Amino acid sequence: MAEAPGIELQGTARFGAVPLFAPLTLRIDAGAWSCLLGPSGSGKSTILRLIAGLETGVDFDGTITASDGRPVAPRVAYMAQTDLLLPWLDVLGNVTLGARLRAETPDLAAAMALVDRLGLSEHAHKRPAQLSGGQRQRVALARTLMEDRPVVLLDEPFSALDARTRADMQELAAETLAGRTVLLVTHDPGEAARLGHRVCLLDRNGLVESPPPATLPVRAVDDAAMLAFQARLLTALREAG
Amino acid sequence: MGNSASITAARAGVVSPEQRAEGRRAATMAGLRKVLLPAGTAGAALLIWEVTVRVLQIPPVLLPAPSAIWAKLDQLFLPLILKHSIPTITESLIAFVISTVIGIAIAGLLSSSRLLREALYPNVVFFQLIPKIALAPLFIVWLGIGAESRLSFAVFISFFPVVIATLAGLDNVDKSLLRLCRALRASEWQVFRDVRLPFALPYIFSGMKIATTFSIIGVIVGEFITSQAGLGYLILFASAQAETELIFAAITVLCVFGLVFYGAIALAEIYLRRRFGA
Repeated sequence: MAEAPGIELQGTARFGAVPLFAPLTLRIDAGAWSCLLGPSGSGKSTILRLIAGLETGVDFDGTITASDGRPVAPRVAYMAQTDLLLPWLDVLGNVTLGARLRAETPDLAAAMALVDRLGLSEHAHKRPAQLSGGQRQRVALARTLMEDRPVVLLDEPFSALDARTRADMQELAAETLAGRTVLLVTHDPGEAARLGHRVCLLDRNGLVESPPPATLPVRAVDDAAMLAFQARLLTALREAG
Repeated sequence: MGNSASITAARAGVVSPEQRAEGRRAATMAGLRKVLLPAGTAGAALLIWEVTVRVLQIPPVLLPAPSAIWAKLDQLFLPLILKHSIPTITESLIAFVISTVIGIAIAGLLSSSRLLREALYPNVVFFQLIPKIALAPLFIVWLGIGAESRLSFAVFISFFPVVIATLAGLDNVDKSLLRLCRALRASEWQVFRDVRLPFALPYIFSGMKIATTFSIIGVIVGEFITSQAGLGYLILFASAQAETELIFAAITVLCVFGLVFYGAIALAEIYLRRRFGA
């Protein structure tokens, strides 16, 4: 993997004449997890898509820069809320989707190694319909890792999972994405409190940073400082709403 | 106490083998019913037709009995009807294939460019509203009385449903999946071929099923106007001779062909859905 850069987004966005967010500065540290927490409609997914260089439908006036000065979008891997697996491809086919869609020859050995690492070896030739929700999201994580990009953007990837699977997936993602620059967009204060090296709250009043506890992510589910932080985040979210 | 409660709770959800067998029987009955009920209804309608014609002694020129139509079909299929079936069937199949290819291609083009879509789609919809059968004579003026004019007319009326259905299918793909494809730096063509087209298959097939009927209609109308052969010609010829039994015999062949044609498309759909489905 290439050296993971830090990223800074500065600017403002609006839908036609309606402002989506006022001028703000979002700093995403190199090789660490930054969590962007906010209610629905706050523009957090738009920020993620802007960084990924995807269509957003908003007018963005500002800059997105990497700490090494090189373009950001081509170095990004993206994972969404739903697994977005193609139902007619098996697990290996879905993990190698990127190469397939770029008309490249997929590196099946690397794909199989990832499938193994995520505990999916016995499912490698199954189709998504034969997998559980958690297994499907692990395949989506493997597809993201397969791209081997230094920057990983996660758009609420665990929010559709049940509580137990979600906690497992958070730990697995933290472990496998270690060393990469990660931006996690979420509406779950608990998730931000467990995973963030840096946690920012985006609401209609703008962007506020909330310093996380001194313990390092992934924080244990029963970590008292983490739970207190989660409560602070939830309170802030409710006050903002 | 707590233990026995949990065991009872666990047992409450267990399905017995008898219940399973009962479920299977019910499923088989439901499957049989789906086939037997419409077939029985059609059989009853034919029977009522037969009895009505015999009891009311309706002249065969007005309405022949099903048994008389069958006798005519049996008598003339090899010497006459088969010869006229071949051009009609061949031209319908060719028109269908061309319509499907053109329809999918146009839908792909319209879905790939916002400009093209905004310029063309409202016109395509407007075109749908024209009673296209009324334009059939124009095709004779433009292309003469050969197979070209019949084929072109059949394609003209049958490719619209494929365009509209395919476009709906291509548009129906999950927007976040398209975002993922973009983040994977996929080319538009790869996304079209490997993602959007497979997802659009059910829609494309619904368009193709309409096109099967329309391509037959197109060829028959063409044959009504110009042809010296084909089932459309045979029907027109028989009606001039007041050979109502022959008209119905030709229509029966058309029905059987239409049914087999539609069935083949439905089978292809089942196969492809299994290949590309969940």
